[in-house]
Amino acid sequence: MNLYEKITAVYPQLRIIDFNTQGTIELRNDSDGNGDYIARWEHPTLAQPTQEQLDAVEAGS
Amino acid sequence: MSKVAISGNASGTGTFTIQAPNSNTDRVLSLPDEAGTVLTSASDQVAGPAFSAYKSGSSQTLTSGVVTRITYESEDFDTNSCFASSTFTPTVAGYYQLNVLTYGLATSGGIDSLEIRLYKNGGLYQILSKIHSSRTSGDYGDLIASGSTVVYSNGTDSWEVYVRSYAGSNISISAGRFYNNFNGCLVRTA
Repeated sequence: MNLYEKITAVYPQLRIIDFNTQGTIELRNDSDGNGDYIARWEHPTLAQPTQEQLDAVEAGS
Repeated sequence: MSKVAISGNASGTGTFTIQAPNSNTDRVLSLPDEAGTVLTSASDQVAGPAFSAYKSGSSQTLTSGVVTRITYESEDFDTNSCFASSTFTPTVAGYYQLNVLTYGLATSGGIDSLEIRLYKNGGLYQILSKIHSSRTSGDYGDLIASGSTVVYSNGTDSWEVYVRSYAGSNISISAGRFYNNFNGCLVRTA
């Protein structure tokens, strides 16, 4: 399960436009071996999910 | 009648010699009717950085929706050794043309879009291109995009390429000069 899938599992109301070019959320990977991460979270109503929330999604999948 | 004056410098000790080539032909070198410094083959304007890099070896896998830094493992040329670790650091301040070509392939689920981003010093500087396909679920799909720009850069700025793609599966950024490359050159000095 990738980061995008985990986030949308925590917040099913998010749409692809939220992650798009002018979206409020940006997921990034610097190709440095550290994997995908949330580079920017500026969603007006939803708080950035915690690592615990993301881990719980994976554990429950 | 205008004149030509050659003057020395009171502070220096070096001797500058104007030397003729081994030639039997009479030639005239005309001076421009303007002030300025004469360029030589070693001047930045003439011998400024130019590079061309491409992805080689293995393809790179991107997660759908994740802005991912593209790595370039090989170079066709790198005149001033300014390209390393997939990063262009000009070393000479000036205006640079930068060009990127990116090919993305999704082997299942189709591919929706491919977006090329130029990052300066770790932050988004420009979106060079974004293209879409008419995705049909389950299709094997690919997209190719290119983008160019002219930027001002000081000598220490770092320039990198990031790509974001949306697809029904992971996206493969294929190896090969003809698939994924990043190149650029100095257009003029600052």
